[in-house]
Amino acid sequence: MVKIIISVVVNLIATGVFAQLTTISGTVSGNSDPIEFANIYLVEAERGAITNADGRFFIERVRPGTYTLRVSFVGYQPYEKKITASYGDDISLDIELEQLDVRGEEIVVTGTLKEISRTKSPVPVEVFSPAYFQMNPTPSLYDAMQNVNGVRPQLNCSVCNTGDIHINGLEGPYTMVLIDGMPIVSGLSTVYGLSGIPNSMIERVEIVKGPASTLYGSEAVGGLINVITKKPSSAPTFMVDGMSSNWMDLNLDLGGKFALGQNVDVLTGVNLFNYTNPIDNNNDGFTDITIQERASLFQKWSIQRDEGRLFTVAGRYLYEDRWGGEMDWTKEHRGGTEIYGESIYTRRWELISNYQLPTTEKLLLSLSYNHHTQDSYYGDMGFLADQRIGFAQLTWDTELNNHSIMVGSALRYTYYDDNTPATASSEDVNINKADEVWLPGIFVQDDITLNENNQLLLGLRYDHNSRHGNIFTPRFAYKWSPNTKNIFRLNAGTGFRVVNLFTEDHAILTGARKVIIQEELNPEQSYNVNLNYEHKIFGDGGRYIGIDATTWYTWFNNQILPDYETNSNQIIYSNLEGHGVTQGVSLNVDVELPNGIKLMAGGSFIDVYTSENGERTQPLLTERWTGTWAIGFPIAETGLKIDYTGNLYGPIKLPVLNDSDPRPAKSGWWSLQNIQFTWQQSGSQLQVFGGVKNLLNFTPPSNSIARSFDPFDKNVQFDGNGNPMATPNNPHALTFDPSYVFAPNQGIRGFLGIRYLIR
Amino acid sequence: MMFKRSFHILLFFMMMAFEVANAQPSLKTVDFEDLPTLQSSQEKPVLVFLTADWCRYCKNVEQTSFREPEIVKQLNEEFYVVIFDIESRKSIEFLGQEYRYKSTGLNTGVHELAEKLGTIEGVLNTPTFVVMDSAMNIVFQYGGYMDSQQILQLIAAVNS
Repeated sequence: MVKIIISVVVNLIATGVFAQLTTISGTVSGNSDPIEFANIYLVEAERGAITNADGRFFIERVRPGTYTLRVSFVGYQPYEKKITASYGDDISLDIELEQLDVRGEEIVVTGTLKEISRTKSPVPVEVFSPAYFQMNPTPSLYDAMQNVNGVRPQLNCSVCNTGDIHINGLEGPYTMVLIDGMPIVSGLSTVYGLSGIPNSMIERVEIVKGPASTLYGSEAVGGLINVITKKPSSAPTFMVDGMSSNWMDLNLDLGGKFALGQNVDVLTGVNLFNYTNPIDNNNDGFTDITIQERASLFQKWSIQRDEGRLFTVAGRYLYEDRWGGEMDWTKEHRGGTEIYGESIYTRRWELISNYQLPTTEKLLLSLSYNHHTQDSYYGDMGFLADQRIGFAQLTWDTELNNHSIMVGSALRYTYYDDNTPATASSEDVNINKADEVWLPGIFVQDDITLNENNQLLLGLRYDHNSRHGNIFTPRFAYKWSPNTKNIFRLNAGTGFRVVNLFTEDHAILTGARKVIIQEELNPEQSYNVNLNYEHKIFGDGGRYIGIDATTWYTWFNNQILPDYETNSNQIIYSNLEGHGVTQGVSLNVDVELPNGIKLMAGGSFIDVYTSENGERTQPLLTERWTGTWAIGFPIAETGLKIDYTGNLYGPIKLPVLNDSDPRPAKSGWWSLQNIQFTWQQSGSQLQVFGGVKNLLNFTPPSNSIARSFDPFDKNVQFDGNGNPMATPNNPHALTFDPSYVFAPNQGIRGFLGIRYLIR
Repeated sequence: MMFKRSFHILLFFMMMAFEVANAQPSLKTVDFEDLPTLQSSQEKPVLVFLTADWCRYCKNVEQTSFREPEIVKQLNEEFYVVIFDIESRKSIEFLGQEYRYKSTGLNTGVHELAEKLGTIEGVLNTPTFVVMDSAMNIVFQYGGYMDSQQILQLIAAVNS
């Protein structure tokens, strides 16, 4: 204020005394708000000014002439204008600057079980923000995983499109999916843990590859995916994100928050997905993509307490109705032998709570419970399953000199029941007996900062499985960072997993194959070591190059893998008479240039095999080579951004029925590539995006489903051993088989969507 | 076989790891607690740089602009500079009030002082540049990356 008065006074004097010279004055604003400290510069006069708190500026005693006036301010598009000053004429300008995209990180990222951030952590954690997944928007987080190097969403059934997440070549059950750090997603529901989480509720996704993550439990042998939901403070007041494609699918995400009184913030998210348009482009008589109707509601309550203690309660409900099958299938055919269809109704609810105890010591109580029911028919085979998982964990966190110690105890209860003999009484198959497992455990972790450059993490976990007894999982992690640009991490640990065939292996439920369990299946124990190196190069203007290389080796004393090959009409399960190995190297490169161009690319070489009697076999549905990339080009000053994303997979070994099966035993190299255009006007919160998915129009072979015309094997003749025989009508001696699948059936397609946000 | 190959790759990276740092005047930083004493002996504006360990743009500023001789010289002469990790676990007494680390989720937390100084329209970004005058009033906030030229402009604007 004082400044203005002084300026006005000076101005008056100036006009009086130097009447022949010009005064240039004006205001600078952005989004209609005055900008303080904006830089005003008259190029030819080599003179300038700075705006005051009201956005006003004055340049006095300007000689007549033509000048270039330049206005600049951090975060705004520079402004330039030609002005002509003539004797006695003062110039007044109101300048509105246009906002530039802000480069920075809005999210708060941390890793491991404790509040240690990513680079501090001796465990290599990869963190992905929703912005990364928006480069190739997908209706669910399951599909979004195709953009992560070393992670592959694997479809397990070409009819019902259920799938699992492979990390570094290991099957889905080796991957642990957590929501807010809690293992509430397992078995029956791995896929559902990743679909139906509204995108608007996701703050970030953390991925740890390898069992470096034993602190979350002994099962995460392949790795873990931890979905962290937003906290009310970082969530927008309202947001909507919707997209559709020419397949007429519709995905809609809504999110918002409101305050309930002074101390409670409520965050709500809704996800709706609808695809009800059966398409059969490959002419096999079956739906190419499963019909899906899904609704999911998420709500998180955050309660403010004294001294900033944490208290959150979150709930999620999901309902899904999906079916795939012959094109003329309707609900009336459900469970019948007339027309083949696979129909699955899923109901699931989850409750998650974190409560910090009101003590001086830092004690955190985490509770979760979920109930998952599946009502399904695969052809005429009914499968009804019910799973409940309860989880409680108490952790105590303390710092002692250079030690950061965490001690905790956890209890997990799993209830599983279905209508198959898997849950039958051991005395009488006809008596149903639900499967109940109690898994209490204790763990301790000591993170020792040896000095500025060296950090050591030691962990030990002990669990007692009510069926398999004692499980010890030790863990070791060492981080050495000779300077801020280089980090080396060495991790080692063990893993332990008990198989549950029915919830893990979808193939059991479909097709004509009989399930043979040859012996009592033993738990799997694994030993892993991995070495990670990160190198960072920084340059002015936001230039960045990051290189991240990892090599790993995991040895399994036992691996329960389905054997499709011994008998084409059976799936045989038995313990491994030898050992299994997965090893490999992966490399990620991350580049950002001052003009905003971003490149993220990664490649992995994965070698998975089992060794039995000295003979090495590559398991089915594993690949040796994978690569992913995402390139973003903003086009300056137009508000347009182009994203080019894709992945490339080496040949995947596939389950064929017998030697004369006409379907190739390997998939060949394949790639899904996408291009997206996103347009956002400067200062606007509306974003319009659209583009083309699967540019190369890659689809798996149209004969992927064996004998799709005879799904109930009505015209197959079997020999005395139950093996199909070659007949004129069935020259290759096949049976109906939908388990030969590696890629989605959707070819090239266009998509369009909008996002709108109110802060 | 494969192990050998990956070992070579790692060896290459290990060689990249050792770079010789040049000796040059470095940026002088102070703690929040020291500010009142410093201001009473010599009044200067304060630049608070809110950073986080995982924030790449923050590291970029720290590794490039905050080592630029011209910026280092001007900041050392004209400012008190505080570089503050928004996830710092240390409780800080500042202007008669205690600020501490607060958990915001199972794995996340933020320091109250970072929130107090850096929140712009309800959002805390990293990095955030905050300028306070010698009486500790916030005169400037910017959440996002600034390159060296923009930082020099900011210094010039505050000094004028």
